[in-house]
Amino acid sequence: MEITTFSQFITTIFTGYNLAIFGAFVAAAFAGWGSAKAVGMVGQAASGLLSEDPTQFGKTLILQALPGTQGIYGLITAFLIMAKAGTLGTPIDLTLAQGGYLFIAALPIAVVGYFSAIHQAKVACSGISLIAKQKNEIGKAITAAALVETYAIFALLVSLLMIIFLKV
Amino acid sequence: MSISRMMKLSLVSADSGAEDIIKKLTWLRCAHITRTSADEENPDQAADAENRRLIYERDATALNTALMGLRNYREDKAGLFGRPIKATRADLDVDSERYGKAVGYSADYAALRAREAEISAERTRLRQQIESLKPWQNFDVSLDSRGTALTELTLGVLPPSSDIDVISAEIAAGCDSEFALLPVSREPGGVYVSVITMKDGGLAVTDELTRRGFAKLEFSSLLADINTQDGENNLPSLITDRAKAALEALDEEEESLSDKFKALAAHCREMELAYDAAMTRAAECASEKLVLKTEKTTVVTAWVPYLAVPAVKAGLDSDPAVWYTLSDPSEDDNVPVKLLNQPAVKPFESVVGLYSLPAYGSFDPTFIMSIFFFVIFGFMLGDVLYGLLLTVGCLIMLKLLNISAGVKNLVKLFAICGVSSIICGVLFGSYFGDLPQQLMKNMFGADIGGTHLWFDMVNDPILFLIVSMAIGVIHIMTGMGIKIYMSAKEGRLLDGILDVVPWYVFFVGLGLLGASSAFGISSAPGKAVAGAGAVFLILTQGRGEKNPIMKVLKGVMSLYDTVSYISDLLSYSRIMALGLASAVIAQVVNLFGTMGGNTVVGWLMFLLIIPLGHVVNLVINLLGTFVHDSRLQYIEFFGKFYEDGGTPFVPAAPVTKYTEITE
Repeated sequence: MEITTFSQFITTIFTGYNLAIFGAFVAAAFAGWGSAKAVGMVGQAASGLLSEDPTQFGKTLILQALPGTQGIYGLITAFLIMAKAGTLGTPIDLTLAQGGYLFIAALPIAVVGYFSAIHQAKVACSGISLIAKQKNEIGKAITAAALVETYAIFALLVSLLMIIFLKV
Repeated sequence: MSISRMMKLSLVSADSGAEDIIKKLTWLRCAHITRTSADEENPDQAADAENRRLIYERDATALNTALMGLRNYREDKAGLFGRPIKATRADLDVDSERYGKAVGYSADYAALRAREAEISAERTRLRQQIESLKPWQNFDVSLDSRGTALTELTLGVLPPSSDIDVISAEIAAGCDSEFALLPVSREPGGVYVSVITMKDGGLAVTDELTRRGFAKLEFSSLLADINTQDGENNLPSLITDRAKAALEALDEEEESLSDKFKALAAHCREMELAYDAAMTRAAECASEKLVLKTEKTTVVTAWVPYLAVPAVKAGLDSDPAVWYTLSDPSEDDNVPVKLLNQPAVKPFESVVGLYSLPAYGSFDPTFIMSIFFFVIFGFMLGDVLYGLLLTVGCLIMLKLLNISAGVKNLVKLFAICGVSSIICGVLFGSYFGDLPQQLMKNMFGADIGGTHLWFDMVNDPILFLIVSMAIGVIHIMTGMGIKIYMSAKEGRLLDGILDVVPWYVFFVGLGLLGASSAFGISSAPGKAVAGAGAVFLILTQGRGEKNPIMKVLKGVMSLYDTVSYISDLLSYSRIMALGLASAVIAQVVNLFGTMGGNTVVGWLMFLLIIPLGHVVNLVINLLGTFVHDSRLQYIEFFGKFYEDGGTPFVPAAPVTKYTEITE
C-alpha cells in the first residue's frame, strides 16, 4: 500500500517478519558485542603475559578463545530465527504475534550472552595470571572460566527451545 | 598410542670434571637429566656452572645479533629459505679456533654498528652547524671575536620586517652612547645583524634593541664543538667549508662501512655454526647445574625411555670410568612424559601438548582425540577447495621452507586436517562455497542446482545442528568409555562400568524420547529405557556411601549431573555455527566476485575478488576452527577422563638451529 499516514508507516515497518529479523539482530549483536569485549579483555591480559614469556602463546590462545562462545551462540540463534522466518529461502509471512514471539525468543541469549561473556572474561584474565605463576595449571584456569559459560548455555537452550517449537 | 615407559639412569663417573660425562649424555640425545639431590648442597658448584653458561649465552646473543643484522648483506639464502649446514660433532666445539674467529666476527659487527650510529649522530650535528651559520656566510669577522678593547660585538636577529635605518635613527636619538647596527643578511626568518656597542654605556643600546625584538645569538656551544686547529680562523664561511668537508668524509666512510658489512656477511655460515656450538655448550652448562660433584666423582641422575636403553648401554659401556644402573621409577618420582604415536598421529601431539601432557602412567588420548579432531575440523571448515589449498600449501611449506620442529608438527597437522575438509566439502557440496552455482548463474545464466552428496548446510541449518549434536553425543560417550578403560587398567573394572554404563542407558533413553517426538513414533520405549537408566543411576551412583539412605540420596542427586551433560552437548552447536559462518562468508565473496556478469569488467572483478576473498576467509576460519576444535577436545572430551600434569620429556641434546648433524 502507499504509505500516507503514520500508522501505515508503523504497520509497514513492524510486520511480523521484520520483528523476527529484529530479534535475529538483537541476538547476534548483543551476544557478539559481549564476546568481542570479552575476548579483547583477555587478549590484553595475554599480551602482558606474553611480553614476559612468549612460549605460553598456545595456552593464552585457548583462554582468549573461551569467552568467544557467547558470540557463537548468538549467531546460532540468529541463524535459527532466520531459518524459521524463511530468510534463507522464501520469506514466510509471519503474523505480528509470531514475529514478536521470535523477537522475545532472541532476548535470553542476547542479554545473558552479553553479561556472561564479560564476566567470563574476568575469570579468564585471572586464569592468565594463574598460568603466569603456575605454568602447568591451565586445566584449572579453563575449568573456572568454563563454569561461567553454563548460564550462557542455559540461555541458549531457552532461546533455541522457544524458536524450534514455534508452529509456523 | 601410549606414554613411553621410563627408566631411571643413576650414574657415577670417576672424573670430577662433569663436562665429559655431560657431553657424552648430551650427544646420546635420549637422557632427560634431573637434579641429583644430596644431604649437603654445594651452591658454589651451581653458581660456577651458571657463570659459564652466561658467558656462552652472551656469545650466542652477539652471534645472533650479527646474523640478524647481516641478513640483507648475505649472498646465500638465509632464514625461512635457508638450508641447514651439514656438520659433525667435532664442528660444534667451542674450544676450536674457528669458534674464536666467529665470535670475533660478531664483535666486529657490533663495532661497525656502533660506528654507524656515531656517524649518523655526527652528520646530524654537522648539518645543524651548517644550517645555523647559513645567514652569516658573508660576515667577515671571526665568530669567537667578542669585540675590541673599548667595544663589544654582539650578533643577533631582528624581526623580518625591521627597517635597520629607522631603528638606528631612533636609538641614536634616544641614547648617548655610540653604536653601529650593521645588517649581515636578510632572511625570511629575520634580519641578521651585528651590533657594535661601547663597553661603557652600551647596555642602554642593547635594551633599546631588545625592545624592538632583537634576539641575541650565542655561538659558544658551536665553537666548543668545533676542533679548531691552532691559528685557524673561525670565520663562519670557513667553519661551513670545514663542516661540508667533514660531511663528505663521513659519507665516504659510510660507504666503506657497507663494504665492511658485506665482507663480514661472507662469514655468516661460520657464525651460524658458532651459534649452535655456543648454545649447545650453554645447554651443557645448564645440565651441569643439576649433577652432583664430589672431590673425585660426578653423580648424574637421568630418565631414559625404555626403547632407548640399548643405545644408552652401548654409549656408556665403552667407558671404563663410568658405572651406572637402570631402574624402574618409584612411586614418588616425578617422571617426565614422552608420548609414542604412529607417524600419522604424531602431529596431533601438538594439540595435546598445548593443553597439558598426561600424567605418567595414565592414558595417552592422542590417537582417539586425533580421530575426533580430524572429523570436527572437517565439519567446521567444510570446503573442498579450502582443504585442497590447506593441504597443498602445507606440503609445499614442509618441502621448501626451513622451519623448526615444533612448527613442522603444526604444519603437518593442518596438512592432514585439510583432507578432512575436502571430504566434508564433497559431502556438503562446497567448492569455495557456492562458487559453481554463482558462477554458472551470474556469468552464464545457467542454474545447476545443488552439488552436495548429503545436504546443503545453508539451506538446512537445523539438520546440521542435529548432526553436530550427534557428533557431540559420540564424543562425550567415547570420553566416558575411556574412563571405563582407565578404571579397568587400575583393576577397578566393575567400578568403572557402574560409573558409566547407567549413564549410557539413561542417554539412550533420552535419545529415544527425543527421536519419538521428532519422528512421531511411540514414546513408550524411550520412557521405559530412560526410566530404567534413571533407576540404575539412583541405585549405583551412591554405592560409595555406608549409610543406605545416603546411598539412595546420592544416587538421586547424581541425576543433577544431567544438566552438565546437556551443557556439554550444547557446546557442540559451535560446529554448526563455525561451519555455517565460513559457508555464508564464502557465498558473500562469490556474490561480489560474480556481480559483474559475463563482461570484461565482470571477469576482471572475478579474477581479483574471488582468490583474495577466499584466501582471507580461509585464514580467518582456520584460526577459529583450530581454536574451537581444540577447545572441544580439552573441555568436553578430556574433562571426562583426563589426568593431566605431566612434565615434558626434554632430553639433553645439542642445539641445532642452523646445523644438521651428520655422524
